[in-house]
Amino acid sequence: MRKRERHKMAYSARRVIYRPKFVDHCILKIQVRTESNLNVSEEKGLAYIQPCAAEVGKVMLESDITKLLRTTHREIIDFNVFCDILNTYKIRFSEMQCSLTLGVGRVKWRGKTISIFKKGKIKIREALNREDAMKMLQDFLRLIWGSLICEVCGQPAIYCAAGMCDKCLEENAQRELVDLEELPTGVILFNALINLSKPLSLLSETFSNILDGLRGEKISGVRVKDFERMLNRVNLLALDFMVQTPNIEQASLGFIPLGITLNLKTVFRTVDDLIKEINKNSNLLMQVDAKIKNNILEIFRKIGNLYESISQIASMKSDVQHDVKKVRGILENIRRIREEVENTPSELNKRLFKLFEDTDKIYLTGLRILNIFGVGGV
Amino acid sequence: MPDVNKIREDFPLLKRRREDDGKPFIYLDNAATSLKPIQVIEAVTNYYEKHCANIHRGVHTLSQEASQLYEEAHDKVARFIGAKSREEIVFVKNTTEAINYVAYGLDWKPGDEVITTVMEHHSNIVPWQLIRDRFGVKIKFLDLKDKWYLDLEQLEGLITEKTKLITVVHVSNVIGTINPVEEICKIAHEHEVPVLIDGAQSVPHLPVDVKKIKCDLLAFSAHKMLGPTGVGALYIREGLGEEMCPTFGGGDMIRRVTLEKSEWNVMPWKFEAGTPNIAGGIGFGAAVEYLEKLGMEWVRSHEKELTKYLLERLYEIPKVTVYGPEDVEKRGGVVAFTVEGLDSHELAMYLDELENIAIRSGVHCAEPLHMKLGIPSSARASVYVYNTKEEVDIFCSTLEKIVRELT
Repeated sequence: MRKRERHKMAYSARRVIYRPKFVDHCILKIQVRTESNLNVSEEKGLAYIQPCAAEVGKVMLESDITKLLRTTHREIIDFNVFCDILNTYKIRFSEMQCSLTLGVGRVKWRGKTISIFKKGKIKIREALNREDAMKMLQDFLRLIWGSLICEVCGQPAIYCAAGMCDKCLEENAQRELVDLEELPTGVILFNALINLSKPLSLLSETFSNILDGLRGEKISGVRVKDFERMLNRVNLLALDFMVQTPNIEQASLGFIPLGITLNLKTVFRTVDDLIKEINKNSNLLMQVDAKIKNNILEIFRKIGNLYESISQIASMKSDVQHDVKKVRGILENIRRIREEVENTPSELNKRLFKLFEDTDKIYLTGLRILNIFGVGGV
Repeated sequence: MPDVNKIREDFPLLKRRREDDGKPFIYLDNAATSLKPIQVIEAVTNYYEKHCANIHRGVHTLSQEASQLYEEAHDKVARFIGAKSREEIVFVKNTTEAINYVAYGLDWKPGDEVITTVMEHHSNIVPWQLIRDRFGVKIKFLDLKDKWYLDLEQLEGLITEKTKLITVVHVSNVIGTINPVEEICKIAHEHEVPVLIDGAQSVPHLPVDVKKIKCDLLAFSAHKMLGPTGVGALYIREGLGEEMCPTFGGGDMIRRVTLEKSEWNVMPWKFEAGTPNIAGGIGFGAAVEYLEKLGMEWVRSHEKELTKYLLERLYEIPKVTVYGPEDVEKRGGVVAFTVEGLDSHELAMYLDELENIAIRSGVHCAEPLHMKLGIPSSARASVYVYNTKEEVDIFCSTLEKIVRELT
């Protein structure tokens, strides 16, 4: 009881999140289920459980994900994403190798050796018994869920979660509220979301730098390594949550932080390119009419505010309704300013638009992140 | 000179392609068992289709035909290893059973000694442990020297008046060493001790002549030499069979039976109790004929060439340790190796999954030798008549990639 109270105190004002909704047949809706009483049947994707050749008294298991998921894809795993996931989770393994060239992943995890092949075959060796092997299969499948290819969009699940496949994440859908405190492992997910505030703050800081750059100052690039380290921390916690949460439906909530970090990576890459362009084109900015320049500065200020608000939502420092209201106001402002800039055509403006066309990407990614948080429709 | 591509056409399994990617099988697990040519498969089928009857029991045509085919198979095997006649060839289940026939066929007294080596397959260690526990027999082990070779200088010192048998592997199924069996027989015979040779990895791959080796007993399996599983042979030198007890009693191994006693049949039937593996025996004969057509000199030279190439390529791969003599004159086509940072079973699994390559992994039923080498297990590639240089290339390149990417 006391423990539970302590958890309550650890949470800030808001501890509820919206569960994102995915279209039917999306890999995130199908879920990767492996009941421990699954019979050995090639049709169902469990080829065998038999004594281990390497160690007496232990068992090995072979499974085929394509059959487990009844998918028609020949290559069920996106190996780039798969290797990224294993790299993120490397700290939890005693050994890990992932080869894009061979299409083979190999990990030693909780005393078991797991090999996975691009076409979907998984082999688990040195399990203590059938239950141990099945539990390992279940946990490993949850871990790599993000790399499994979705039947609906042909993209890895993580892209569905990030709203990047444009087919799976339902926008403006009625979302179910989930109280993290009610989840046995909710604190892990809470921590993952809290940890998002760090990269988001770094992003806000970067937008301030951009404003300085637009004023003619030479600015430094993005602290990519710091940023990646922060996102990896978020991903590690999200994966921990997915592996440890008893209920598979709840485990899928781990895709919220995973989807957001994937979007943030895109934003950071774009911002990094933009800073390089600004530094290269400082002369052009000097020639711009003051009103337009102010508008551009305003757009960046507002985008900065947008990400600041996202940070507030992620860190759960205010209630959702308030956040949504605030974001709605910011977006309205951005739209108005953009229209004003677009309605002032000149050769210089065209060049400026070219320079800043990626601001669209940053802005739209912000919207996508809001959608993942369940505050779509702003 | 036989053409390997023509030989390959005789093996139906080599035509099989993997369902999902169409890759052919690269079979490099020949030391475990060999593939079977169509000639052997047809010989077995032919017996079941046209001559299916029990042997030595009926006067009807089918029984006589079956008996003739089965007996002729003994003749073929006898000819193949240079034995005098079929009387010296007992068909058994496999090499293991052949060794057990010897273990239970000799008249042991407490304190008797048997000398074997640390290089042996379990089948030439465990039967002697059973005999030790049952009859109080002492087992002595000949050790290795210069890493891969038996210490023959030690042998003289191990032999005593109580030594009843020396039993030694001809070609190691792990390190591939070809042991100097002629020399061992010479030393043993100077002390009037009979010698049993485990020929499981030699008879299929080298010209083996029992008259030249002067061994007393030789055990080998059909399935490792293109023949069917479940059949093998025990060569018992003329005269020795009469001294040995039959291990099993029953039909066909007797000449006369009363309620009080039985008289044994003549060699080799004295040791073949009950209905034998007739189809297997006939298939064994066909396998021997196939190898004779190729010529065992050619088989050996083909394997030497492939083994030399395999070794050269393996020595170049970082993190790979090869076990056994470097000189192909001193070894057979069995090549055991380990990869630093990768368990042998995993390695075998990756080769199988990636390129449809079959090799053996584990201790290859030679745990004491692995302990001696200080390794928990090893991977083993072994070549035979149908293997090609191209297959060795694919195997080595795949291994190289696995080592580079997964260790």
